[in-house]
Amino acid sequence: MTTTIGLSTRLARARLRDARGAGVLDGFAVLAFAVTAWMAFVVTSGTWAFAQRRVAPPQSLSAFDTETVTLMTNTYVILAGIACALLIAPVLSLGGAAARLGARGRARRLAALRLVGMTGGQVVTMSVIESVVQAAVGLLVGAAAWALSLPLLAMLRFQGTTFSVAELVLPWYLWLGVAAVLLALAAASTALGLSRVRISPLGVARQQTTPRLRAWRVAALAVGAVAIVVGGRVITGSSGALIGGLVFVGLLGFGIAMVNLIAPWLLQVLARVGLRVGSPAWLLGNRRIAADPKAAWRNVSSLALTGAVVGMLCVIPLDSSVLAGVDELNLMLLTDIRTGAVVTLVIALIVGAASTALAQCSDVVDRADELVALDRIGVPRSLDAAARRHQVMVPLLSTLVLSMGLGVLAALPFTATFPQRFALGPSSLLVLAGSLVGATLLTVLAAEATRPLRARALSTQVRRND
Amino acid sequence: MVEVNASGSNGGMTITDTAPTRHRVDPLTADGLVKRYGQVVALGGVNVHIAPGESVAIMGPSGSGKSTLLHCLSGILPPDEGRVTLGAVELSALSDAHRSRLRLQRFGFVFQDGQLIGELPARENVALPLLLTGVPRGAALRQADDWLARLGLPGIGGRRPGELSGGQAQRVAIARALIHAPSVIFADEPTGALDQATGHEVMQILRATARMTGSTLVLVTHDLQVARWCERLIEIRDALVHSDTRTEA
Repeated sequence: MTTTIGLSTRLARARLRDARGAGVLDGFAVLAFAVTAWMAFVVTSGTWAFAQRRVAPPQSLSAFDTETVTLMTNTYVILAGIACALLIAPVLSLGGAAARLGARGRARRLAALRLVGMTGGQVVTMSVIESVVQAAVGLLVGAAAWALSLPLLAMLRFQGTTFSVAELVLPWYLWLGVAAVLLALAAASTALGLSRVRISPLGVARQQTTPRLRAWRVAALAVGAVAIVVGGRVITGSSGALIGGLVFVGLLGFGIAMVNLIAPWLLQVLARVGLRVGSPAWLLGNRRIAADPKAAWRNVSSLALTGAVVGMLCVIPLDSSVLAGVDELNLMLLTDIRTGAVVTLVIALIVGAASTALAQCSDVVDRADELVALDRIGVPRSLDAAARRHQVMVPLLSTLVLSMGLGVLAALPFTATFPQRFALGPSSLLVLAGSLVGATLLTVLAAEATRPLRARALSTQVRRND
Repeated sequence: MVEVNASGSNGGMTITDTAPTRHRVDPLTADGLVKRYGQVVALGGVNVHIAPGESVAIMGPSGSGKSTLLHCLSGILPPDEGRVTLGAVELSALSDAHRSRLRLQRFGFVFQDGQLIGELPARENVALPLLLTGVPRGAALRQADDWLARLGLPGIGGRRPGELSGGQAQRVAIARALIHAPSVIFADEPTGALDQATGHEVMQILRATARMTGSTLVLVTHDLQVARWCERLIEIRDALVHSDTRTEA
């Protein structure tokens, strides 16, 4: 074990000196773990704050009777828990992406170590140690970012009042619990990632072609869509607005699960259709999507949540004129759902952009040899950048359109129950357009983040053993 | 018409000249080339003149500077001193972007391990130089299919590089290097990753197709058997041309 740790340390130092940017990936991995930890702490501390308010309700709720306050504070804990559940997948996915960074290059290096006599167990252990160390550093950075952002989070207004920093501070056992989950995730993602390739002394033996995704996913989508509409109408028809809200959010989660099922297949179909038209960059971008649609989907999957939230916002009132006449309790609830949705949206955008940047940077380092070869045959350097833009934009735009549609679909039971309360107001359109533009800009910026790495790979004049 | 019969691991094949478009073929000249990597002198004043349509093998021990010479001749690397000219064009005076365009339009490259794009099927890999120079997709793919058939690979156009054998992948790389009928084909250890029989077959194809298109062939190799496929053998030692001889090819 001591030898493994020692070797791991020496290799990490060598990577940091690598001219083609392998060391930069270590930095990106730490950054990704930091974002993951930051978001995990933010989401957990928000939920914790609502749990605190269940025990000690804020002064702003004193106008309501005890029974109403209890019902309301319990509801907020459940809603926060659901928001947590919705964000767990993208946050964990980002952590997993960090653990898989530069996987191809890493697998080649590990194959060389197998050749000189290390066992399969030793190389996996070494990689897991590397990931856990990176995750631990990221965890500390993320925790610091969370602590620094507490005053900002405390400015959020829920239940008629802002949070206090004390409400948001996590108790030590919860903090340690989140940290332990994040470190375990890093270790598990690495071990799982390496199990997908057989690292033999002769190299990565399995570079198999990803099988095509099948069309049964469409049938599952149709069944799911019907279930959302019918289930939503049946349940909300016999319950109050509060329960309806819970059903609404639950159905939203179900809608996102369906998006996860259909989206990779749809991306594959779109990419294959797109092959027939457009420039070489368009061709290459679509080929990359079609070659591994699940990977393309992973890059933008967290934005499905963004799309669904935006879809939901289209039918939840945002304008005071629409809200006039609503009783105080429901007004507070609707306002807070709106605030929660915007917060969720911002988190999803950050996570989505970080995931895309990570995946693209990792891909550039993994493809360094291919980039150099293409450059040598005279392929314009702009081709890879343009292909990457297509590669992220096609999944991004199709994801947003599909998930927003499902978000609207999930909100339909509400529009049926209170048709006069739900309308597409000017501020709804503003949020809709702003989200689309924001998501697009962030994702394009994330793709462009690969430029320095690509330039570094291409500018390196490695003297071959000629 | 050129006709080649090759019997390798992939069976016999016939290459026939169906008149691909030819570029003008110009002489390639290097005068006083010097290239350094830090303190290491890779080329110490090399002079080479390669006639149009000639086939030249560059040999030498490890570290002698042969790959660096190929990279300078092809405009991949700018020399520190001296100049490289293709006809009237001085490569060493061109900007990086202009040299890239020249490589794409007038040169073809075959590397040791093919270096095909993994996500593109063979047909699109071959068609890439044409697509990048604005040839319509349909026409480019038809030409790619023609070249694949010519090189004994009919029907594999839809396969991705990961689904091809080493010899097949190298032939696809040759098709990519030749599809735009380049003035010069540069091959860097084209048989280095292949067994002897497949390597022999690949060289036979490379030589025959270069003749067919009238292209100049410049290849770097460690292997004297491979070098003997060329008409001329330049040996590099200690960063200088040690010998320059004619072979019986």
